[in-house]
Amino acid sequence: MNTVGPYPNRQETYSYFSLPFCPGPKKEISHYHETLGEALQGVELEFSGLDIDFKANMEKTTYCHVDLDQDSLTKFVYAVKNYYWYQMYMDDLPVWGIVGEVDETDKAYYLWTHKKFDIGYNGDRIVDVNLTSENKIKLEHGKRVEFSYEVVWKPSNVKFEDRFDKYLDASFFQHRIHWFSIFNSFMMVIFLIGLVSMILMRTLRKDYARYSKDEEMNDMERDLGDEYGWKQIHGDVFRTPSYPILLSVCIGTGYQIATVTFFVIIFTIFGELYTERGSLLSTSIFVYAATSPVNGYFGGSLYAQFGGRKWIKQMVSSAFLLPAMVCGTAFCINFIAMYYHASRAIPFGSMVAVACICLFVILPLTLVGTVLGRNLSGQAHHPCRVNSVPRPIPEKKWFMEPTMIVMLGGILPFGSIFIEMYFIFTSFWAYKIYYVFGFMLLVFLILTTVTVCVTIVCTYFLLNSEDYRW
Amino acid sequence: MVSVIGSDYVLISLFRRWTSFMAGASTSAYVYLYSFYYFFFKTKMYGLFQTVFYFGHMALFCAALGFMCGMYSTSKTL
Repeated sequence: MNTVGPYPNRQETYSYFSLPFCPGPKKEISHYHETLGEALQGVELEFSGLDIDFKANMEKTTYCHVDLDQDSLTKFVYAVKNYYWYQMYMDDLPVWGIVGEVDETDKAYYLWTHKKFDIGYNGDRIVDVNLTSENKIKLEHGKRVEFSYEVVWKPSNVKFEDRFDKYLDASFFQHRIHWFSIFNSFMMVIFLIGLVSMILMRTLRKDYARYSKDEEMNDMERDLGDEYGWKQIHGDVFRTPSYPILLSVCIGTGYQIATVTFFVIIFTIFGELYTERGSLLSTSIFVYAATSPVNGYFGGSLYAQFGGRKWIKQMVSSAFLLPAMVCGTAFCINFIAMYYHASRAIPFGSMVAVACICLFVILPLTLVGTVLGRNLSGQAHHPCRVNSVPRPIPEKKWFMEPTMIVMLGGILPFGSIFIEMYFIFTSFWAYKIYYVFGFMLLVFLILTTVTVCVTIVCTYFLLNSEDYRW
Repeated sequence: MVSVIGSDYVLISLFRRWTSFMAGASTSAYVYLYSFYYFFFKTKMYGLFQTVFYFGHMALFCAALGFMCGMYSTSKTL
């Protein structure tokens, strides 16, 4: 048995026996180990006490009963009213059932008391589980409710490897719109690449034309010359950014996140991780810890190129930026979860485990990366020196201001991913298992290309208007 | 005259070299806005816990996305 919770709120789950259900006679489950990912997701398996033997059909058996007093009656009514449903696992296959239902005509609350398991087997493996709830009983004070179950075993042709296919909603994820959006984004990528290459070609050709003309002018003319656009600000573009620590930390973290996303998607495509509880989260944490040298390397080398001296501060903050954000959010949510007694509350042991991973894995690996980055590529190689006095930035139209460019720059990448976002949101917040990680990889690559192209175009416009605040 | 130049310099140093990072990262701001739309029109979530959970996790997700996109845009223009 796993959890029980209201149907529209997928993440609000409680332990199954927080409702006054009663366990069956069998007390022990043979073996079960909780992984870190499961603990963090609030998966808290408890044994339901139902005795099911392999390939042994079971007649309708009463396994326990509950006498409804005022307290348990209120709990049950509340659960039924809020469409509570429960989730249980049988040989790692999830099974869902609804707690009860409301009769609209006489405003009475009913509880399903009989669970009928239809279990399909292929060879010596369970490949299919269906749960039917039957025998509803009206909730009344002082009534004795008897819970019963029956088991029917049937041979099935489903292969053991394919047993999760039933849960994957192909008509939802492989809908025409999904394909269409990918195609659409792809066209956008082609268009953008064309735009970028056109800009580059045009600028370069102009420049070469001007250079060849320059040869004919004398030095005097060149100093007064008609340079305009981005060439005038070459002395300012490599000025050190404001808040160099923050910028290098953000960029280092960005590199790490991109690497983690890429590897997790690849692992998921090949490992079919979505079939196991919490294994996606475990893998992400593991990959994140393992790729922290990437963070250190890029953050550290960038900071060294900016000429920064406080590299230990930079290193520590880049190691802990994302973990601190995640832990901060989790901490706040945890408080509310504890107030509600939800099973989402993260147990203390898992918190200690995560803290240990941060301190003893991520921090040393980031240190290694930072030292490597500072020594291997810490030298700034700017093609021209920086002027000592910053140039004033000329007046320009409102849509050329950096704020506007920032706002416009996000629209195209967002447009390329927002359909995929819908699918990802739906799989996370509603009851779908996301399995089309090939699509996700494609969208990830498209997002990369689109963002890069858009920024090149933006920077070109910005620098061309003699603004070096890129 | 001096004060004009001074204020101009402050403005410049405030924004220096962040524009391209922000241009990429603003993608995630749009995603966060979209998540508001998704919450109110596509789901039937209710209750304090689930709401806080939703927006907290969406903020995290968008922050990570923002770091990633900002990195893309900065790394290619540096």
